[in-house]
Amino acid sequence: MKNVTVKMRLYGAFRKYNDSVQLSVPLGSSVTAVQDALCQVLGPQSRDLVMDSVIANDQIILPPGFIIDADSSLSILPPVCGG
Amino acid sequence: MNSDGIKVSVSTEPLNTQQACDFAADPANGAIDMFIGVVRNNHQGQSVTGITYDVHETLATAEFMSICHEAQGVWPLTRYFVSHYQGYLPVGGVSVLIAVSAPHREESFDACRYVIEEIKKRAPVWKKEHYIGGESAWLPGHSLVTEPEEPTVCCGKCGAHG
Repeated sequence: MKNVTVKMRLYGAFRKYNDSVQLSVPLGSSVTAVQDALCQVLGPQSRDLVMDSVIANDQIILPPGFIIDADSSLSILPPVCGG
Repeated sequence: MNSDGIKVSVSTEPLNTQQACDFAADPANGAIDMFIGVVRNNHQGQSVTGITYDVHETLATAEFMSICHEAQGVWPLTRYFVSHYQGYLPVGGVSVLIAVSAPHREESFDACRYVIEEIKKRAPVWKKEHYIGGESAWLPGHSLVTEPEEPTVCCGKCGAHG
């Protein structure tokens, strides 16, 4: 099966890992599958924070069932605390 | 980013209260309310030396704009200036600046309060506190994860919808 590359930009508490990571996931993966792939790369200790975060492109927060159908540049947004 | 009566931004330069006031001002509006968020020197018993603000600039400016549009829908004729700092600020530094003008003071207070409360809950901004001694920590916040909506058409079998 063909894979696609997802460049995931990291924010907030994820910065301790890096500014971004590159993931390879099967074409047609859901956002939830991308979150699982991110946990694999960052390590099991990251799971709670990953699952409490959302994935976004530069326009919207993507719903869990959104399908990745091409190479993508996405962001993971942990819980926010601006102001 | 500008819209009718709304100006929002993310800035790495010091935030300017006069600029905020100048944009919000309108001859037809008799009140300008301003919220200035500043870095304080303590948090939960720890001595804070500064905060680093991390921001997803594109999504944050879009969210600021969306919040201001919502407020304009509730409080007509209001004008908004919103700017959030990105980067490190020492104690006393201005992290967020909101100016809202309205025909009368009550709407300016209410609209300004709405904007800052929604920013705290919705805008993709994160704080890393720095403490005396050199330690630092990312602060917890509001998760943007939402529960899936219930289907509007009931299956008729589950009994969950009365």
